[in-house]
Amino acid sequence: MENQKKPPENTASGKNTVNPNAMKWLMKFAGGRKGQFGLSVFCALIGVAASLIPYFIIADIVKNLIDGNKAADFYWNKCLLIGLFWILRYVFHSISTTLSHHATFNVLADIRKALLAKIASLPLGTVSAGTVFRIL
Amino acid sequence: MQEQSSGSYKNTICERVDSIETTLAHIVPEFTSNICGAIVIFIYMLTVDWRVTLWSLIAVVLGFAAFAVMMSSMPKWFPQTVVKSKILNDTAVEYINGIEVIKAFGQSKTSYGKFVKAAQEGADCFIDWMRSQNFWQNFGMASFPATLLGMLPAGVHFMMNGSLTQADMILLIILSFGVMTPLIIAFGYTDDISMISIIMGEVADIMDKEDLKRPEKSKGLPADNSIELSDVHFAYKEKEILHGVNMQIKPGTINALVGPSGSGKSTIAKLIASLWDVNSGSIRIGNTDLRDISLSDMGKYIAYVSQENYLFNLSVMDNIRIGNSSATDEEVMNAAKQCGCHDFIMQLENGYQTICGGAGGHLSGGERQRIAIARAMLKNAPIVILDEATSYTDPESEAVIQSALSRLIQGKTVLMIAHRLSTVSDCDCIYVIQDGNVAAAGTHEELLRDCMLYKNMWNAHISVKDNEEVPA
Repeated sequence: MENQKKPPENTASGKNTVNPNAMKWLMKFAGGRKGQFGLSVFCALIGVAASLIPYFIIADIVKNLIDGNKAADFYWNKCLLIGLFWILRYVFHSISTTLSHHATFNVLADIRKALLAKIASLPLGTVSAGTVFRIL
Repeated sequence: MQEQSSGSYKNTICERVDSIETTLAHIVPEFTSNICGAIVIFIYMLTVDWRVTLWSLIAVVLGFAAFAVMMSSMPKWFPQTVVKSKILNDTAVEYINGIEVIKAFGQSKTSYGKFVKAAQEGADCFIDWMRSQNFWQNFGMASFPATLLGMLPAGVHFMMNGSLTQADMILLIILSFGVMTPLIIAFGYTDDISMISIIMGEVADIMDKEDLKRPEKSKGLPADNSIELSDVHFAYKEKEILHGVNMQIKPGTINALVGPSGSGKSTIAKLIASLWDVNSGSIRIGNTDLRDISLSDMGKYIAYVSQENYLFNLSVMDNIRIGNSSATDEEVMNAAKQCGCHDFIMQLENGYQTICGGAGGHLSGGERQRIAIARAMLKNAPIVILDEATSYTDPESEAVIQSALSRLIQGKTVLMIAHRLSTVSDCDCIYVIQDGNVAAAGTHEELLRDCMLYKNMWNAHISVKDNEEVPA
């Protein structure tokens, strides 16, 4: 991805380069919820398909208009069909978003669990401030 | 070893991670599906008429180029805004936390000036970023969807020479809008992807840190309760604090580390407690290297009591039980009695079931200290490390704490660090630590005789003590 480019040199004080392993870790965490994300992407694909089909229908309508087809029923049916796909698009979009939110909250939970577990296994000096870890 | 404050860990784990939820949830399905949708339409367009379709790409190429320029400068600007915002936050926090000092010493002008400067730099950073992107942003936005730019002239040309039908041309024009909509949606997420990568970078910073290396299962267990340090070097960040410390602590003895502040005595205690690892040399307990003992086994051997003891937001009973989670209520109370906690706990509103609150807000420093000692008592580890365990307590509770400690350390191998030399003068062996080395070791009498530094410290201690005892 674009943002995987080499981190730039520091320009201001402090640490301002992105850790090059960022995406590796994201993939690792998101990979744990592959199934949920997969289903979400599948629904999103149906949603996008439903959003694109009307373009073909419109093209068909325009073609018929040019050819001089004057049957009103034909056009009404096409319009109805477009409306139907328009609804389908939003239905699948919502399903996909819901699934994806569900998966994402799980990923965030996984990230947090991993971070907390990691902190517990770090040398105490790395977590500096006094009150967080007082080991008996 | 890069140090981060516990505040910044909390910030990453709670707020920063949270902030990527919306974006991440939308990106995964929408980015993929929209890109796929665009590709499918594009392929279909190619089958209708590949020549016109390719011509339509001129605009897309221009748009991509503009976005690529913007993306490439993103890693340069965004982290800067993060840094500048952080400086602004820190300055504001400092100003507010230090307001008393600022007012008392008439520093409001300079401190306020510092804040204004930070705010200005923060704003400038964003403005400069926006300004540098302005042209490319507009150029990209304008050219990206302009598929007709290449398509119309080409289409008209092919229609004129008869190689393209009117119907196909209309289909292509309409589909070209269809191909752009999902692409525009998809590329709307590029900023967000950068943001996610920065936040995941913070996560990666933590995940990539080096662990305290301990085996899952101990490779060996201590044969007895002796502690042996041989040629221990330890550096905190770049600065070496311990320069080859050698110590031999016999099982069942009471030992003390004394020395000027900053001499490294507390570091030695923390290394033995396995809170850090040595850089070179080794620490052995009962002839087994610490690094061969799993953390859970390690916990059974060492109890570490420090000056600050955190009480969890649990009942007093459960807070003491942290020392040994399988202890019965009776055992907990027994430990509390031995540490002089029982009486004050019974006076709390709900006795042992009183919730201590965050850092033990209800209880005084001395009471918290005694609870911590009760924890250690309940744990019943054969080695006890007392890291300035009595230094902050008020004189009244000190006597109680001393007697609690003396019960805690009965029959144990003890290593204590104390300010007050009188509390360590009975020890079996006292180690005088100076500048990260053991300067001398021996009993109180031996050291008074042989060690100049100890003698000076003792004399200073005695004179302070005399002053304390003079009635006011």
